[in-house]
Amino acid sequence: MRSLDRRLLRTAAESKLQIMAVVVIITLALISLVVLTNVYENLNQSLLDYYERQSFAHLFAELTPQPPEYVEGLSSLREIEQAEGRVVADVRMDVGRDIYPELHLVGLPQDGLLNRPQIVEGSPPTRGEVALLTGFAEANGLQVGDEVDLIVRGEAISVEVSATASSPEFLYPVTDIQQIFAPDQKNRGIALADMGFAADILGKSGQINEASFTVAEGYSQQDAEDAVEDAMEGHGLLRVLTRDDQVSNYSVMLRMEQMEDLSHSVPVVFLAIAAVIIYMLLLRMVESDRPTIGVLKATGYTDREVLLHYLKYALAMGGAGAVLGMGIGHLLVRPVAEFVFLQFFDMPFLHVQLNWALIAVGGALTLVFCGGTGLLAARGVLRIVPADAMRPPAPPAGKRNLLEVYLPRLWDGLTFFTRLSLRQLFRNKKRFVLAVLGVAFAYTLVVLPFYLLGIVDAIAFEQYEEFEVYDYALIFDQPASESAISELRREADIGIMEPMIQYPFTVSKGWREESVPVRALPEGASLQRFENERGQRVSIPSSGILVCEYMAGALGVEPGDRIRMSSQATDEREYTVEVREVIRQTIGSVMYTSHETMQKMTGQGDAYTGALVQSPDDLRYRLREVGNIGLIMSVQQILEGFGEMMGVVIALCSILVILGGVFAFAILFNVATVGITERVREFSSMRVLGYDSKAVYRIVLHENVLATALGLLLGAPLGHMTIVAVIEAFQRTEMLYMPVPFHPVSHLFATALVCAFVAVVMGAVWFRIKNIDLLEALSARMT
Amino acid sequence: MSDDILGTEQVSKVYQQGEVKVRALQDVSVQMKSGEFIVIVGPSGSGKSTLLNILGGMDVPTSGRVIYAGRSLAELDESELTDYRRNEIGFVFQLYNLLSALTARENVQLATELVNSPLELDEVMHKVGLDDRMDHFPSQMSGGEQQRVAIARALAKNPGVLLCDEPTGALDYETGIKILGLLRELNRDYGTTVAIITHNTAVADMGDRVLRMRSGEIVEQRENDDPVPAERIVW
Ligand SMILES: Nc1ncnc2c1ncn2[C@@H]1O[C@H](COP(=O)(O)OP(=O)(O)OP(=O)(O)O)[C@@H](O)[C@H]1O
Ligand SMILES: [Mg+2]
Repeated sequence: MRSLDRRLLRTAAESKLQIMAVVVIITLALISLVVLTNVYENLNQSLLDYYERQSFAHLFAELTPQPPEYVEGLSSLREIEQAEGRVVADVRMDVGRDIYPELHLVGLPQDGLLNRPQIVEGSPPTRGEVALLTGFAEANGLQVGDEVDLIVRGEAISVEVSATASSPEFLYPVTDIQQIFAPDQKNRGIALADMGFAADILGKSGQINEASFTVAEGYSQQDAEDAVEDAMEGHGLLRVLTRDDQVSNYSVMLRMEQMEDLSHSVPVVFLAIAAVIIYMLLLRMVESDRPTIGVLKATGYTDREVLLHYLKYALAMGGAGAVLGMGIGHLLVRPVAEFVFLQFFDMPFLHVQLNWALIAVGGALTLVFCGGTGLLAARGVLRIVPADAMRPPAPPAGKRNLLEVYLPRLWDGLTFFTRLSLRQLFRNKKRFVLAVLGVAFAYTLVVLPFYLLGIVDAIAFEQYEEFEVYDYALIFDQPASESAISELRREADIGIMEPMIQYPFTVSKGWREESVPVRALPEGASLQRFENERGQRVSIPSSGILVCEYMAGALGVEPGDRIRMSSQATDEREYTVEVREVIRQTIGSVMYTSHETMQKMTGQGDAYTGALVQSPDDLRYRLREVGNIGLIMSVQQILEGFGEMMGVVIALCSILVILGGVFAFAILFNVATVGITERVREFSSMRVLGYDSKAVYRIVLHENVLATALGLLLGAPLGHMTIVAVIEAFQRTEMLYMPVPFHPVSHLFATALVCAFVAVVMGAVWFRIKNIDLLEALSARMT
Repeated sequence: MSDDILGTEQVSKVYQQGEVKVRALQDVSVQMKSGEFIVIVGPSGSGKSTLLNILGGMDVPTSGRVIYAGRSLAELDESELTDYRRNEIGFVFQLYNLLSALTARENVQLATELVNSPLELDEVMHKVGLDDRMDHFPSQMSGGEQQRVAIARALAKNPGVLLCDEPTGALDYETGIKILGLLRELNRDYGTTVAIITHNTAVADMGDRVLRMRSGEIVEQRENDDPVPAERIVW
């Protein structure tokens, strides 16, 4: 079919912009498929290999100080393969700045088997030495051989940096879920030391306070967790953590999941958009080629040959995009993988192995999307009969429309042009529906990134500006009395200071059970505020407990229900407590109660584990010499971290807004121009009758304004539902509980943007209409 | 008759348009002999195009049969019908219907590529007098030239029957005469059976046989023992 193919090429030149757009989008689709999938698979494999090689534990238990033999004995449990004790503490380090960075110190046994660090430079730490995680060392300009001071309970202990290292426990260098979005490598570090040495300097010689376990083959993490709990409950067990809940691993896995989701969704979204444009392109082509198709059929071309002629457009675009995309994609895999590795994980880079099967997947996906829509759009050629070559396109049957029939009064009241536009619209419902859907789809594309921004904003700022309004949270090494706290307050000249008691609890309702920290605050607490699900202010109740949304869901409780609670702090005695309110909490999961309730359960009166503080001063500096403070958490610092991340998110969302905008624009433009091309002859006849371009334009304008209005009305709930579905499916865990946002501002922005697009499109349409060539249109029989 | 090539038996065509039925053809029986030059005349709306379309396998009759070389078209399935159009019929449209993206040569190739034994392309182009217009696009040609390309396209397949629906309808007098002369010449040189529709009764004199239609019926069939050459027609 050489002549037909030649026609294909020449007519393609008429739509080269759209064709290029489609090819680019398909190329992007395949680049994203190849890159994201390969990077994800390689990262995941590298990660698992690394975990395996360094024997990353499956289970961690926090204990009251115990002799090491106690833990070693636990390896006799069926469910446990290896058990190992260790010493962990939060201390600080004097690195020569005015602030002492917090340091998470992990003392590992000599020749330990589990959670083995990988030395990057230097040698494993012995007595008097520490190994620093690379990120922290670099952020503070520390090198192997440097002398630094550990600050333990106010005392300085000089140590030497023996190595920089990476650790499977701290691939993502955070120790607390609060830092998940904003690891602060400069002010929070991780150091590894010899276990005996660490125990000595912490005043726990010969003891351990944590245990890590690997699970024996044939048992799940859950089995092992249950076994460890059974064996250790009441014997010094504070809290059990599975690998899934371990913060670094959780963060890494969260990113992995996101990447996996992206690797599935991004290519499909791109392809779907390409498919929509192909569909419109071919639909228009077939419609305006009607006489040509008639000629071809009259000449003796079969339906299949004619169908194939149009299908070839779709296939050629798909083919070009696929080849380009997969070519470029494969070149990009390695650099992108390396970049992502270095960017996110403190882990030596392992290997990149390309998954060639993706070529088949990519090819098949492209074929399905492009070929499928091509077929769908081109199937119109089957309805065209040879005799169509001789007939002008049959004018669609004129009919009285619904409005005219049912609301004649209203109809008569409309202006002539409105009536004319409405008639057009009723006559070609398909085109109108397409226009409305185009606007709705464009709106969804644009509103999503705005929402995304809003969500991240909501997570951080809602939590820290609305709810946790303190400046610092102090965690004491040892519980302190009220008078000791008052003294600290006086000495450090602190404005407001509210003591708190916080212990990990096991909470259950029926068969459901969760581990969760419970924080007790004074009844009139002002430094932490609460809001229930309906957005009403709630305060700490004198009896009963406040449960966060995630836990309420996980336990299946509502206000008024009673839950059972026990803890090492209550000597495992069980208490029944009433749920007062379900409160909103985006980061982490904590339950709140009053001092009184907590003290009743623990049986301890004047003993507080920490305090919330409001102070404009830099307490990390002022309190750096105070002995009993284990951790100073600065909200300011967390927010700064968020601020930094927001920069990245804003950049990312801007890209998405632009991408969404380009797609939205492409869709609107196509829908509008298809509408014009189909009607050039009609319009030119109007012009010949004596209407001017403006009159013709007004008809089109009327239609588009109506379509835009309806599209926006449809797009708003569509966009909202999409985002809610995404959040509910992916972003609700114990650690992160994304609120379902309603951001009127997002909708405002999106509406404005879509309207602006429509305006630009209408401008283009005006030029198209103004330039309708009367002669060309009237002799349009020549195809 | 043994040399009948294409004909209809009691063909009727009814177009249903909402409540209204339009009888475009009513019990039309007509036979075309091999090598004949037939002219169909009649007022607008009398069913000429409908008849030609049905003969060409482009439309199906509501009742009656179309016989080609002894076989009823009704017996053919979709692909056999396409083969019929491809190999046996050449169709010339009133408004040329060339593919604007293709040159004159390519428009003709569009047809020659379809069949096994087409006529020599250069020969056909020469025959229609377009040797020097081969690489022009339709937009670069006059109406007469375009119609000649269309005829070349129909003819190049070397079909048994050439059906032309008002081939001169859009042309001026002189060009129209030339086109008619060309068709007559082709009919003579290649033995192609030709049927042309015209509004112009003067043209009727050049046919071997003239069919006059009115209201979907053939009201007169006239054999013409001494057809007038095209160039002597006046209208
Ligand atoms: N697709 C159709 N649907 C309904 N009616 C049709 C259709 N095609 C033709 N007709 C009707 O059938 C009748 C015959 O039409 P036809 O095109 O055969 O006439 P014609 O003799 O070729 O006229 P003209 O000389 O104007 O081309 C006319 O009344 C016409 O209105
Ligand atoms: Mg006609």
